[in-house]
Amino acid sequence: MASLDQKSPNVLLQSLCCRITGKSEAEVAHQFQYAVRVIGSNYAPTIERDEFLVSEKIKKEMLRQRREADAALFSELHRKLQTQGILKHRWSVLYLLLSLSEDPRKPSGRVGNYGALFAQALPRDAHSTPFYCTRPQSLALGYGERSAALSGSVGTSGISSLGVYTLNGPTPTPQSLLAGQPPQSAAAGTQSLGSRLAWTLPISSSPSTIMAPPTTRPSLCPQVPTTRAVRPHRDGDPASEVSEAALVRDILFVFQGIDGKFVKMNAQDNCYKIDNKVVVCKSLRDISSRLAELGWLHNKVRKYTDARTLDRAFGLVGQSFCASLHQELKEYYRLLSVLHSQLQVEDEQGVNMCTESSLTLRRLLVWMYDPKVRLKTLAALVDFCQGRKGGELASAVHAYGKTGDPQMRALVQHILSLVSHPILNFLYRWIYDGELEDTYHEFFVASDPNVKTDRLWHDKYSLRKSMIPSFITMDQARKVLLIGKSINFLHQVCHDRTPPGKITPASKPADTPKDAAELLSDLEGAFQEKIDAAYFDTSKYLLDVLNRNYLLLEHLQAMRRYLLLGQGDFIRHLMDLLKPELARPATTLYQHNLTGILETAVRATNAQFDNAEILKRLDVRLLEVSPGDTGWDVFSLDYHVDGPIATVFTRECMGHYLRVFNFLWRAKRMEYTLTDIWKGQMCNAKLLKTMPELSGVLHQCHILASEMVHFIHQMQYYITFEVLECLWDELWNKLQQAQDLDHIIAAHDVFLDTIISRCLLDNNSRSLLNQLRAIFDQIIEFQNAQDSLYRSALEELALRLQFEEKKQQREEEGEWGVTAEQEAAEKRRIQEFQETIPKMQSELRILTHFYQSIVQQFLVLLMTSPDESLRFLSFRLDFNEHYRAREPRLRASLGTTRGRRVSNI
Amino acid sequence: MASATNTNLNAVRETMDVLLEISRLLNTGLDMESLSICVRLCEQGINPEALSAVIKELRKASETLKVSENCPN
Repeated sequence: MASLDQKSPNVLLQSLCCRITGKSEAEVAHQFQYAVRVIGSNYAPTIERDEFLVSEKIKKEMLRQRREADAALFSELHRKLQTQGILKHRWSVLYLLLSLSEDPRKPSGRVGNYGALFAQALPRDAHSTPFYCTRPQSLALGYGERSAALSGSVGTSGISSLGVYTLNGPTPTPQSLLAGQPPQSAAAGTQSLGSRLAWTLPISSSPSTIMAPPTTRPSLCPQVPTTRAVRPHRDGDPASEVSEAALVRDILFVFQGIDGKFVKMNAQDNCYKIDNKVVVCKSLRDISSRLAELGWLHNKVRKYTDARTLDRAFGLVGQSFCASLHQELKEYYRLLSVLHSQLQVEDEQGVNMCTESSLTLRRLLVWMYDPKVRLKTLAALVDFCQGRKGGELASAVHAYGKTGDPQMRALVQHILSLVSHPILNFLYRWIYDGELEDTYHEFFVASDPNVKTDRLWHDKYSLRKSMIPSFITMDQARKVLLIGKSINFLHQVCHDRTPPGKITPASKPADTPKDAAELLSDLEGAFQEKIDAAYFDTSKYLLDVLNRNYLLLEHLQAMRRYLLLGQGDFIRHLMDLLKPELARPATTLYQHNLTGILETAVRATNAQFDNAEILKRLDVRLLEVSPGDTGWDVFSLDYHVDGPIATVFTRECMGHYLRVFNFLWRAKRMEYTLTDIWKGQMCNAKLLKTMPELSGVLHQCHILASEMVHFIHQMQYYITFEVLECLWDELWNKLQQAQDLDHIIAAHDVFLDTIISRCLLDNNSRSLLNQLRAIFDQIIEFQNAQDSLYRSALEELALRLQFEEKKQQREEEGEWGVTAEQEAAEKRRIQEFQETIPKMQSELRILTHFYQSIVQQFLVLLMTSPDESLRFLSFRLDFNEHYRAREPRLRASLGTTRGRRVSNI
Repeated sequence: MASATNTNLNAVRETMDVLLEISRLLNTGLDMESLSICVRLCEQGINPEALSAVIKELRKASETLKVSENCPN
């Protein structure tokens, strides 16, 4: 036997041929040739080199033939064989015996079947026969070497067989089982699995390309999966390496954030990891930790949604964000369930583990790539949205939509459409119905419930800057605020009961998130158009209501006419009527008296043709009385405003109006006073001609008076034409162009503010105003001085006339015209009077001097004023350079301007 | 050395007996000598599948040979 062992395979084969055919060596030469070819060729290399499996198969075969006793006997014999350990290739022998075994029940057709098999196999391998014949020792080559030799020798022609080999060769799959499953069914299974997973995969990657990496993989390292996949089936030894299948199962749990058997949450590193104690191949460890990231991401998203779903204060926007996250998670769970069911199917198929359709970690890595990207996006969103709500949250989501990755953008867009849906709903409710249903303060329009209706327009509604979603521009947000505010204003202040639908042809609000998505995609177009349309319609309606029902423009004109003294005849008449009253101390004035006078003035002038609605509002108002005030100081006209127009004429506005009225009234009074002075001069000029000693004083008076008249005329001109009329024209133009109430209010505010500053009533020109007040005071003083002068002069004149009359009367009676005594008394009196004249003259001189110095100061201030119109005023006031000649400071500044002007010419 | 060879021989014989028994159980139709040749071939690393195919083919060939021999006779 030992000698036999040395024999080469060919010798053995020859003796075998002789033995079986029962012929001599020469006779079996032909058969021997065949045998060598078959053995030498790589015929049917598809067998498993696993003794256990072969023995199992034998037992199964026996059981199939209902030979249980024989099966038991075989197990006994097999065990014996194992203990002896003589044979090196036990599996090989067993396999040979198994292939040769015949069912004893049907022994007849046992030979005929193989003819075709032989005939098929031989031609294909014929070319290799000489190769193996000449080198028969190559038959003894090992498997690995042979497969390498094969792939080398077969080359391109053997690709298909190579594929078969690489697929089935190293697998532990029993031949029978593999044959029982038609290859196309396996492919179909793969395909269906592929299609079920398709939602996660790009369309371009068909199942075949997905399959490509796993199919080629075993050929690269055919040994590795075999041992890994099989071992746990044979022995569940925990200490040994963990199989890939077990890891796949684990990973599927980890995907849902559940700890697996081997892959567990590592609290320290905050990630899923395979336990360090578990023995596992490094590449598998690596892949599974990469896959396990999904679990971590899932947990993150899940934790966020779980925490927020029950938080009611999180608001509608937050809820819809959570809902959208849930939706995404649901899709993810659907994918996981598909994977699970695939795993289940594999379990039912038992050992059939590493076929094309089976789950491997690598395959999972490919399939889970897209879901991972999605989950990553979601997790990033969750991170970014932490602590945000409402419009802020929508902004955060919107910020994430600005990415170049179309898939990610689609995902974020989808979430954004869900998130912005409640915001758009708020918006539509607001701009179409004016209702604010924002329980959780998520909308960018805020309402202050403490504000009363009279301040509704100004204070009640405001923009929450942080809550403006970034896809809505500031301009749009302002318009939105204005639209709703207008509607509320109409309802609450104007008591306009028009149903909101009539104001704007309200398009239907966004009912579905899909609409919201459409709107979002067309923010510049449809959305802007919608807002603009609502804005125009609502504002226009509001202005119509204000103008038609509440006479807003008429009220503005009334302000101009009465408070800004635009209605000249009325003001003049009123002043005429009021003059005796107002000359009295302020404390003795009674409002009801003045109101009566006001009504008289209205009735007597063109004001009577004004709208009754406006005249009704006109009233007299007495300012606070301080000691020493006359009626002039405290009198003021007033205009009552209430209801909607009070929104334009706010309390501050009315305060401004009163201040301006006071100023204008004072200036008007100066004009009026100077007219009186002039009247006195004209009337008395002739009378006092008879008193030549007065001519000097009177001349002084005339000069001063005309100086004052010039000043006041220029002032009045400036106020009336350069300030009021210009500004009024500006305001009127703006009012005609105004699109909404805010424009009107703004224009009106600008109007008033400019008037205040041009009339020197603001803080910057306080010194100017003081000078002006001083000038006015000088005018009043001059009036008093001149009055007393005339009074004494007229008195003197009367006395003289009386004296002359008496003299004449006596002469007519034939008496002495005057006695010496009388004459002396008369002379003394005249003397006395003439002695007062220089006093008056000096008094006037002082007054003049004082007045002129004040005017000069005023002019200096005007020169340095930044306002151009005031500088022009100064030029006009000193047109003949009278003051410039006296005041060196004026000379300097005026000189420079003059010089410039000359040089310009 | 001789005893070692003997025990080895005994072991081989025992193994062969066991294999023969298995072969009988499986109804392979191999006698002791064919079996021993086959075992030796297998031990040299020959593909058992190929070997089984060869054996089957040889049997078929001898059978047809016998038939052809019988026919002219």
